[in-house]
This record gives sequence, C-alpha cells and structure tokens, in this order.
Amino acid sequence: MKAMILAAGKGTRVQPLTHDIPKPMIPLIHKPVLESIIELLRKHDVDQIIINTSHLAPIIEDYFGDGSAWRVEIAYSFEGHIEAGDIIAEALGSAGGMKHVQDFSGFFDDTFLVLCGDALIDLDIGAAVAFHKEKQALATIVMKDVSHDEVHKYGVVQTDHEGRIVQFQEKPGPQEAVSTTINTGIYIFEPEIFDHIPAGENYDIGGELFPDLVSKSLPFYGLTLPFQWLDIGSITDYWHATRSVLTRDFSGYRLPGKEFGNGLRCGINVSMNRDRVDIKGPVFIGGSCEIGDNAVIEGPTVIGPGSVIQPGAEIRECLIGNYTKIASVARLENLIISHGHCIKPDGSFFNHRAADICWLIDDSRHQQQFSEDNDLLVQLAHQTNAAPTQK
Amino acid sequence: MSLEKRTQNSVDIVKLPEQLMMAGAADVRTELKEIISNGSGKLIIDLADTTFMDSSGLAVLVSCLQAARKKDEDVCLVHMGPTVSALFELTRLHTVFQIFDDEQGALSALT
Repeated sequence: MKAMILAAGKGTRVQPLTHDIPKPMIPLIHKPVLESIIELLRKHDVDQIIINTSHLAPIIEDYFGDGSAWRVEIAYSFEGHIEAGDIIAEALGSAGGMKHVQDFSGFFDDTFLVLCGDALIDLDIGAAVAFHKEKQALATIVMKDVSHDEVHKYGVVQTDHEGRIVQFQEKPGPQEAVSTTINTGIYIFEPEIFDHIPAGENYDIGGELFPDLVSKSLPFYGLTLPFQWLDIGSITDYWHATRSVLTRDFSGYRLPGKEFGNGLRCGINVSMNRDRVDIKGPVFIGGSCEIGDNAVIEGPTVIGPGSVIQPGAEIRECLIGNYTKIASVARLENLIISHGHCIKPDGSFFNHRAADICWLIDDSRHQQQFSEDNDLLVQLAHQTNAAPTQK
Repeated sequence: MSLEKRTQNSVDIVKLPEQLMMAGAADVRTELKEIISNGSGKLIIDLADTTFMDSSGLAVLVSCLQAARKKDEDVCLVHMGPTVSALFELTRLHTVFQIFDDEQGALSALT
C-alpha cells in the first residue's frame, strides 16, 4: 500500500523547537515523531511513502534517506526552490501537495493513506482501510472524540448513523461546533479524489477539499476507532506528549536505554554515581551525560544526550535537550530547555544567551567555564533558612 | 565603588549597579554588609538599573540576606527587571527573598 506523509508545514506554533528542525522531526525522547509514523506504516504493510517537504527539507531527507533502514521506499516531494543557497519554501497546501505528486507521476494508483507528520498514533490501519473499502468510500477520515473546549483546534466532523459525513467544519468556535468528534489528520483516499482537487494552486484538505466533498454528497465517511493519538500542534502538546510517553500513559512506545529501577532509564556511557544522585522516576538520561553528585532529578524528566548536570543542581519535571549544561545553583522546575531557550509549558520562552544566563544554563560543548562562585552560592543558599534544601 | 544609598523610616535603600558579577562583587558585598551592620539591618535593594547578574552577584544578595536575618531583619528586592527575574526563578531564589514591584511595598513589609 502507498501513503503520503504531510511534512511541509512551518511549525510556527511549536517555535522555538522548530527553529532548526521541521515539526515532524521534533523528538519524543530522541525519536522524531515522523519516525514513529513510518514504523507504524511499515507494520501495517505500507511499503511506499511520499513525504512532502519544504521548510528545512534537508533535515527530513538526510535522516530518512531512501527509507531502506525502515524497510520502506521513501521519496520526497519538495515544495519550494533554492535561491542564493537558501531554501525558499512554497508549500502547496495539504491537498495541493497531494495533487502535485499525482500530476508528476500518477503515483497513487489504488487506495492510499495520507497522514499528518506531527502526531504520535498507534492506529490499526488495516481496520481503517477495511472500513473504507466496505463503505466503498471515496474518502475516509479517522476521527477521535475530544473535550468541548478543544474543538476549536481541529476540524469538527458530523456523521449520520452509517458513518457518512454530513458536515465538516474547519476549526469552529466552541459555540458553532456541531459535535466534539474531530479530524485526526489521518485519511484514506481513492485515486479518484484527484478529480476534486484543482491543479497548480494552494488547496487545503480540511479547509477546502472536505467541505467540497460534503457539498457534493460524495461517499465521504468518518470512522472512530479506539487508538492512542498524541497531536503535537503546540509547545503545550509537546510537553504533554513527551510526559505521556515517559509515564507510559501512551502505552507501547519503546523507550530507548536500559531500566535501572525506580523509574530510571539511561543510555550508555553515562557518568553518574547512582548512590549519590537523588532520582525519582520516571527519568530518562541520554547517553554520554554527566550527572554530578547530590543532584536531584524528579520525573517526569528527560535529560538529553551529552548533557552535564553539575553537582547539587535540582531538576524537577523538565525536558532538557541534548548537550545542555546546568549549573549547580540551578533549581529548574516545569521547563523545557532546548535549542538555546528556556521554554515554559504554556509556550512562553526566552533565549539563554540573550538573557545573559549562560553561566547558569548553556550548551555543554561551549568552552566557557561556569562561574567559580557557584559553590559559594550553593553553600550560601543552603545555609539560608528558606532556601531550597539539598539532599 | 560607592553605592547610591539613602535611609527612609530607618530602612536603608541601596541601588545596585548595572552589572553585578565576579569583578566588583566583592566590593559590593563589603559595602552592603557594612550598611547592614551599621544600620538597622532593614535593607531594600533597588535593582532598577541591574540587567546582568552572575552567580557572584547572586551570592552577594544571599549573603546580605543572611547578614540581615542574623539581626532578625530582612532584605527586600525591588524593581527587578525581566532578566534578573528569570534568573531568580531558575535558581528558585524568588522563594527566598521578598520581592516587590516598588519601594512602597517593600517599605510596608519592613516597617
């Protein structure tokens, strides 16, 4: 079976994580979301995949190559051009991107799948395709029920008793929404769908194609299946998704590293005396990290590979990116430290360098030495009654 | 270095320089400790001009707090800018100090 993964978006709502990687490459504990999608597709007999790329295309293309490492064939549909060495993105819209591929080679010659590249899922694709075929649908949407206050983020779907879609609203206000069943960005199409997508123009699946299918009363169905779905549309989503994976609320996700008890997982080559570090899981520490004595690490926390946590530092419920150095005096709580930024789960952020706090948080590969007064400050802070206490 | 200092209702109010870092921190520490030891021990540190502080700078503030608390008094911080405020959050020192937007709030807390 063939599939297309939509990966050309800019990921504006996930800044600054998407400053130098495209959204589908955002890692959930070191594995890009897109990689999990490709693994799932392979598991369900999808063997040929087109990925449309645009913003930071080479990051995706260099990582997945021809797909052979994942036992699939991958080709890319690049949407843009290069000008003076820079990629100028020219995303064609989700439906426009599909049409571009079809007009190029007629690639889609049978029932095919289209998925957004930014959600972690464990869908039984075979069951969804079986439903689609049984209904003789032109298009099928895999749906999910969400709470009423979340509907504004998604396409809202209303179906009749046979699962036929009678109304499709793209991101309606909570008052206008006709249901709380939403579009998960997972679609099954017949090649005839291209008769309904105009060539050579920016055209959107949710905003244009689906309302058109409804208005033409075409065989357009929605299916709700029990499956896990973690959409990564915003920093807050990323925060929850990573924690869900770490706490095993999202079951079945294969975490890297080895379990050491008390919810601690580590990669290889970690320099740490486990008897001298206060760890409350779930905590994942990536390979080649250095964790100083008397550090406190409370989960759910991820510490990216190559990081240095200086003695006595305290880290509670944080997602720390690769190659991060945290000074002894730091008492971090509920933060994402990544790509040179401190990011709060609500999405607000600031840059370490711009804020002049590189003596506290920095790239562990920088030569700059942390301030020598760290020890004195830690000592002073601990002598002060109300100061946070150290183990 | 001589810090800008005045006294109101027996509370010493001192303005810190633009940068409080390793070079110069020792002088500031000595001066502030003298103020605490010679005065009532009630101290307001005005950070309106301070845009950068490293661990030496933080250590100065913590040692002042200790000196004041030894006299059963306290140190309040006022006019903290966003950079220093982020630093206090990341070191959780914002839970240790009384921090006020303006002098009036700090004066009420200390007197």
